[in-house]
Amino acid sequence: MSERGWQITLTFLAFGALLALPAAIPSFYASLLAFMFTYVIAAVGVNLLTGYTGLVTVGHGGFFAIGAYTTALMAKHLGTSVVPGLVAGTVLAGIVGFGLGIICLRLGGAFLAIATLGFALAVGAVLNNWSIFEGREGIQLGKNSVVGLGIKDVGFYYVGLAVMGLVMLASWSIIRSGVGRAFIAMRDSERAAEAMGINLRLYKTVAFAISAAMTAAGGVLFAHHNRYVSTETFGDTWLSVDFLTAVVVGGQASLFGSALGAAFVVMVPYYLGELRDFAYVLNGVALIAVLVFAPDGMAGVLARLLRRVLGRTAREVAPVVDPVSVGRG
Amino acid sequence: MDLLSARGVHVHFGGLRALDGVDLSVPPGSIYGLIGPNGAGKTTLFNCISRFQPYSAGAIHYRGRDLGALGPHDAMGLGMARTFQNINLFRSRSTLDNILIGMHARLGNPLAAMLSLPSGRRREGALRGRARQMAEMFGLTDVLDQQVVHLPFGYQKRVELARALASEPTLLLLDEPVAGCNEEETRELCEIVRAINRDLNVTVLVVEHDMSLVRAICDEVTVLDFGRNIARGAPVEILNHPAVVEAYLGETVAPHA
Repeated sequence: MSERGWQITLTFLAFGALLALPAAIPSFYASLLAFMFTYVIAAVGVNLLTGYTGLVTVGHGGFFAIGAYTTALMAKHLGTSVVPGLVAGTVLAGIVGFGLGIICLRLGGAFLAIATLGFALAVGAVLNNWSIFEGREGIQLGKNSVVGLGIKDVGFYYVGLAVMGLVMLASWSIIRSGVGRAFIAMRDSERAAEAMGINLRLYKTVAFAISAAMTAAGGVLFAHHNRYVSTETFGDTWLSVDFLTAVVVGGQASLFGSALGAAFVVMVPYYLGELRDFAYVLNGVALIAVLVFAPDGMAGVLARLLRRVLGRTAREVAPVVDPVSVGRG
Repeated sequence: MDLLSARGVHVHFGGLRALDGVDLSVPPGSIYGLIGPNGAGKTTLFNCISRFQPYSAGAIHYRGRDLGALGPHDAMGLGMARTFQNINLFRSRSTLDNILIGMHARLGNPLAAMLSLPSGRRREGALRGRARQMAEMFGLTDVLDQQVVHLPFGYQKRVELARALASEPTLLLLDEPVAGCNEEETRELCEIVRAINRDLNVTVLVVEHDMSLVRAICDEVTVLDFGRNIARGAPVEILNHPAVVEAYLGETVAPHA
């Protein structure tokens, strides 16, 4: 089987396992996993921009918040639940993302990171100071439902799984298309990308918009999962840092990596229990360790291990270039 | 009518006049050379044509169309493709992907592509087929799925050419194509460029230092020095032209490229 074949097979197996899982675990764990899914969705959005397009964002917590507060306010004032919130939250975040993309067009590297950080801080400040967002008091959301059917822990798990699957499928479809190739081309060489006819301004802002919309979908689900939003969670930049950490530690430019990384940033504090503040230190250590020792992240390390196990298959797919045997023809 | 023409092009970098009213006209079907000593302004003119460099006065027309207001990404859509002086590939991608990115101008509806709609998939299939043909034409079939950063130098050069030609341009702009090549690679490249010109019917504009390449492949050349035109004609005449000899070597010595 080809490497691609393995990838597809493993993906189907993983989703199959996730479909069957709630039957085997207490509903509390289903709820914890659903919480993790919201982070995976956000990380997939960040990965599209940072991993594939090469634009580092430390501000996607802002888009997560836009998603969460859009659905919270809709729930409060219009009595809506998950699906309308998803539609409105992603559209609104996409528009804001497009705008932020335009503002950040001329920035790259550390300057872009700082500008996006500023965006997250600005969103936090707005939430803290504008009374409709209720600041630290927060907004309560009613019982969750999807198209009129009430859902609890396990039901919400499946909603989260479905949205996560959709977002991953969308990301995969984009990346393997000509548009995704253009994103990656801009990351590898802006000058060459331009020479190939890629409109940098257009493609960068579009990448920003799609990435923001995806992350906001995670925010919408996060709000419904907690059934509560407040600036306790959304008022600072920790979410943004968590998402970037997830993408880098999990493995940039890899969907599987985003999932692994999101699992890492969610599960580590959970299992630390009382010591959960120590997780920030651990995240920092993991970030540095990955950047120094394994720039392709946990997913890269796993892929290398798998290739070693499957030895021959891997070599068939990616033969090492040997100038002598290939000839200079 | 000329395929490409430049009239009185000026580019100033602060007080330095990189181009001081330069003219150029490239007839269709030719392999045209743009030469000159270091700092003559040939790369600046090249970048004006490929739209990476704005110019303050003058006009550049391609197939009668004024290029002044266009950006670098517009050139490919008009039928102009370029290569870079030092190879500039999408290093993390495979040979096939590099060629496919070269076909960006033919992507069609981006939404259909992103969502893998039937029309998008059909077009993707067609592009991939065409990319494979390009790879075959340039002897790259064996390394189609290799990451280009791991390919030997000569292969990378050919990937860059294949990528530039993937969009089926009418004008190919080559920026010092044999920089860093040994004699054998230079010979090989000359043959490839001739084949591109003859078999694919592509007009070629080449900026070059290497006189052996210019003599071997160019139908006509324009010589620049200090941002001005100093001569124009067939390579053999030009290389013995007094002004050119002076520009390259000082007054007394003849060029023996």
